[in-house]
Amino acid sequence: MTTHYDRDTLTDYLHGALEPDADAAVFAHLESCTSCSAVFEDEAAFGEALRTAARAEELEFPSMVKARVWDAIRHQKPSWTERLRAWGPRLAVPVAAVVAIAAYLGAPALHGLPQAGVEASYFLDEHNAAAQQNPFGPGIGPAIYTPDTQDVTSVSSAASYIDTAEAATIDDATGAVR
Amino acid sequence: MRSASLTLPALALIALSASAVLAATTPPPHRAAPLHAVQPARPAPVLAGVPAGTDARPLIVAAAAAPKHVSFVGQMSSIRSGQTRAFAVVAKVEHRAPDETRRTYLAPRVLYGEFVISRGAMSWDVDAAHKRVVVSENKAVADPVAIVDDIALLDSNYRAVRTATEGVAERKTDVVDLVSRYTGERAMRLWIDTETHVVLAKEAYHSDGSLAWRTRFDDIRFTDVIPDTIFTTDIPKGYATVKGRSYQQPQALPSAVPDAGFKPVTPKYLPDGFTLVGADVTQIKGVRNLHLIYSDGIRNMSLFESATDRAIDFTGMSPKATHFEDHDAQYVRDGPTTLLAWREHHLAFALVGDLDLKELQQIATSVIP
Repeated sequence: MTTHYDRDTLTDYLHGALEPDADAAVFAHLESCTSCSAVFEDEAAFGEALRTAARAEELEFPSMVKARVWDAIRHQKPSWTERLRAWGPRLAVPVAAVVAIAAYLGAPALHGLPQAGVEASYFLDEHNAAAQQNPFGPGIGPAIYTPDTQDVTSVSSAASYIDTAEAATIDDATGAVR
Repeated sequence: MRSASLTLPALALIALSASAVLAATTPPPHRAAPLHAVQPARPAPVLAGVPAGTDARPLIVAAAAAPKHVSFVGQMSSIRSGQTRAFAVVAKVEHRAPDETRRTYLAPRVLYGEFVISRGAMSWDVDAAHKRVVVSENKAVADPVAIVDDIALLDSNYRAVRTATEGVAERKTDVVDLVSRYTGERAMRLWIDTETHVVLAKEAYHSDGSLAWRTRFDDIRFTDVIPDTIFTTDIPKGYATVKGRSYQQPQALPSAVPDAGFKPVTPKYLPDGFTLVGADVTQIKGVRNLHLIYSDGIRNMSLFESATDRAIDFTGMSPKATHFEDHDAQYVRDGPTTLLAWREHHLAFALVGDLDLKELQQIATSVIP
């Protein structure tokens, strides 16, 4: 009589959680057992569907959930902000006038805000260029392109050390440099 | 702070490295001559079979000079480790002694097809994605005197100890640890080909022992037979030529720091072994930027100063706020490198280095205008 694996074992196998011997045994069994293969494929497809759903930027609620939410909204009493919003057109002109006056009077205070200065990528480029002369440094990598808006004397790129531009894109802090 | 004073061993090292590096800058007479591909092009004639645990300074000197007289073709993997993630690059490397190198990127996919040709101080970055060639110049990389200075500084701050013999890319290598003379921590490990002294792998470590970055040849073949077309700098048809930045040779100290139009400020505190090795002034957006370069022979640190009320532009990045002493500051991390920016007394400062944020803050605290 053929022994079959239960779903838990096949799930563990799918996740690489089995000991090497057990892993090898399941692998060999799946080669020949259509029944277990079907369970395994089903489990794998389910996992993939979950991953796809998790990766999706916008998750769609089940229709019943949406219906309940809309029902709750319809039966909810309007809050004070909603009542205020009903007055919107009549309040809009005076509010806009107050905002305009405040902006006019407050403008001098804004003059003290610093303008945008040198881009941070410039400093990383310069630092990396200086580090390149070290014979035991990480070596030369793809260029980093200082953005065109960076008005540097005789500028625009630096052959910099390894992978900084792309690392900046995917690393934890800096974001794209290109 | 230990200064980079030139002790007798360091002087001997400089003499050895100067002769090796300077002699190697003379182009080999038979560069294009067909040789047997499997043979090292110009095997370094010294230092075979150095016993483990011994002073490996001569190996370091030979390794620094090796690319000047050894040609090779190989595939190299590099990993830079960030705070939470790491990033890998795979490139084909073709090097023809003394100073021509082409790196063709194979991975990640976004870089595939891009290549950089460097010849001495010049580099041509052929960017297929943007159909352009960026031509840059960095005079410091081709300066043999600067390289000798680096080795002397490294020697004053690190002990080079040969620890083992290992195989890398099916080649026998001497494993050399560079150990801080102050903390006893290993800052870098090199795998140096026993025959040619080309560095086949290297790893740099943070002070806590974690890996900052590593490079390693997956395979390598020593040969002089590399077609000239590999290193051609002709601009491909349909490509735009973009003039890249021209990095001047930083002024060697102790000559005066170049005039930036304001009184430069230097930190009162530096990590052990770090010393000011150069300074440069560039003008950007109409503002003069003073760049002070510090090094301990392995790690570099840059302090930028400018007399401007403008804040540093972090557009496209995700800076984080931090605070030290009475200063609000911002920092970003780029792999192992951290940039810390703050303002004080109408001066804008940016401190960049492969150091912990805490250490950068300690240095920044000691920068008092």
